[in-house]
Amino acid sequence: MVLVVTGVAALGLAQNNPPPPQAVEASKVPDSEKLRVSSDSLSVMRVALKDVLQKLEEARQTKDVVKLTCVNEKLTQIKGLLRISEQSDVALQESVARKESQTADHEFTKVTIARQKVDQLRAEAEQCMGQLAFRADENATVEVETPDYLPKNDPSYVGPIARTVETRSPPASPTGP
Amino acid sequence: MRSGALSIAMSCVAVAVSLVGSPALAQSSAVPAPVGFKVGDGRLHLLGEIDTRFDSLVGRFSSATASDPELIFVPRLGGSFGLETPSTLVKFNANAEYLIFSGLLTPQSRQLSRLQALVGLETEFNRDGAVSVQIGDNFTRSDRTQNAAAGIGIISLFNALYLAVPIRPGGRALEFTPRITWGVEFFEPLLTGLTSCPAGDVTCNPALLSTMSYSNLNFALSSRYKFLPKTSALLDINFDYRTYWNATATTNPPANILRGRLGLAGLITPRFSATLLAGAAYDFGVTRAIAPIGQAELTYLVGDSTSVSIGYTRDLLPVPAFGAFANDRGYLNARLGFLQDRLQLNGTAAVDYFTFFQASMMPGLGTSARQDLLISLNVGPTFVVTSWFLIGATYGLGYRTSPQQVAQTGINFIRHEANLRLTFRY
Repeated sequence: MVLVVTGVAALGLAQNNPPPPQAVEASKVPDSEKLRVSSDSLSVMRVALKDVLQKLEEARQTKDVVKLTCVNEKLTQIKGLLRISEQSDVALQESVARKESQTADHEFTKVTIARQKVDQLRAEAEQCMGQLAFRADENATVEVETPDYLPKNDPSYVGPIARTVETRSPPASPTGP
Repeated sequence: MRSGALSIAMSCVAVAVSLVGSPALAQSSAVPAPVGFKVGDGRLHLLGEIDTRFDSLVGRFSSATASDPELIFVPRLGGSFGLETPSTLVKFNANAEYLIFSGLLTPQSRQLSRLQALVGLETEFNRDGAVSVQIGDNFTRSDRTQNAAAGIGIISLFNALYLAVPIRPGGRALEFTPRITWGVEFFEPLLTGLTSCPAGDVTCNPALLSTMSYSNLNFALSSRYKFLPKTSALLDINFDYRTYWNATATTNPPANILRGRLGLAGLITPRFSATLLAGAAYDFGVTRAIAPIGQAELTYLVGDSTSVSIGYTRDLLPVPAFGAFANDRGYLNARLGFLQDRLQLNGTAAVDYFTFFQASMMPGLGTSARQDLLISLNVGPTFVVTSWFLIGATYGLGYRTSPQQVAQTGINFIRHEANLRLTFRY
């Protein structure tokens, strides 16, 4: 018996997505429902992939290696899970067509678990960006725009204070006393 | 008669106006810069200059109190190299000149003919990094000295080597710069004659001048916080460690001067900049002198090529023979650019008042400290004819008096100088 356990969806992430499958035995789900849930799960995972890709681009623009590495790690896992899910979805459709219920249950379970994992990874990718934003960032730069009407030179620079004084006295007479 | 003078004046005005409006000048939007030879990422420039100078006081040859004038011709050769990238700065320049005293007005002055030279190197590495390194050197051989006590014409051989490490954490608004400078200066007489100099006085006896040769180590830590794009808060602390090569404490008391200054510098309006620094200095050497020091300067910026500054500075400095002296200096600097900066007028006027803190232990100087008043004026135009040819002229006035030593002609004089320069550069 295979049990499907639902994960905890990240806050606000699944608001526009189909709800995750409830904890039910795969064998009790009708075949038509399995196909629908699997297809919906793939759609949700593709949206999650697109969302995390966008976060990766944001991390790249901030030139923050820590953020970039964190998001990239989540993205790699999501890609793997999506690939497995797509293969399982095809296998599910074939097994339903052949009336191989055990195989269908197994492939359905794989897709469902993959979706929960992807939801979790999407939330973690959000945390990569969100939590780190509150840390001190050594790569942050502040650009100060100098108005055009100010002089080009910098009068705020004053040289070393050991100022020297140059003097020059006339030479004495070579015929003097 | 009056109409003739009027027509001449009108003609002059017309010529001047036509000069300003001539196509050759109007086509250029900026001062043409020398081209130079490309060397790597930098440029090498060559310089040749002919300087013709009149000096009203080249010596006292006819009598101990006379001011003998002379015409001097100064051929000058030199070169410079500049390289500036975001990460590296290299500036090098070297000039050598030979002063030919013509003997036309004072035949005895021919023996003053001599070689003078100047070499400067300024480098900075990793400029765009949080920590950069600055190394540089300045070398001069001339009759201009940083020994304010000198009471006779001398040849000064001066060299200053420095190392600085600017540290700019974060966004570069804050900057700390530890810096060490090692300066040495050696003296030799221009002439061997002796006039109006008390016996044994190292400041004016040609035979004793070399005992004033010194070594000066300066340790500095300057910090700057740029709280506006062109305005900073400054804190500078530095320490002078002065020793003399060939002297005992009785002839040249050593000086160890600690200085500190705090203040603001930068723009206060788009047209006015100001520098306000105040602090104190203390000599841990023989004089034990303590003095307030500082700087107040106001600059009116008419444009990038035109500015006028007026200011006052006070500093405590080491000096041979006395130990330490305070310099109060009031000054006015002006730089005016006309004809799109092709014609530049530069002027500097300054009044220095030297207070030598310790009554010298040398014989003949009595017990009162020496106080000297110096007035100097330099003013003249430079006209950029082409990118490789410039014409310049300067008038200079030098006046010095020392009430405690009125008989000493080396520190009581007035000197007029005028020169005409033809500069060729590539």
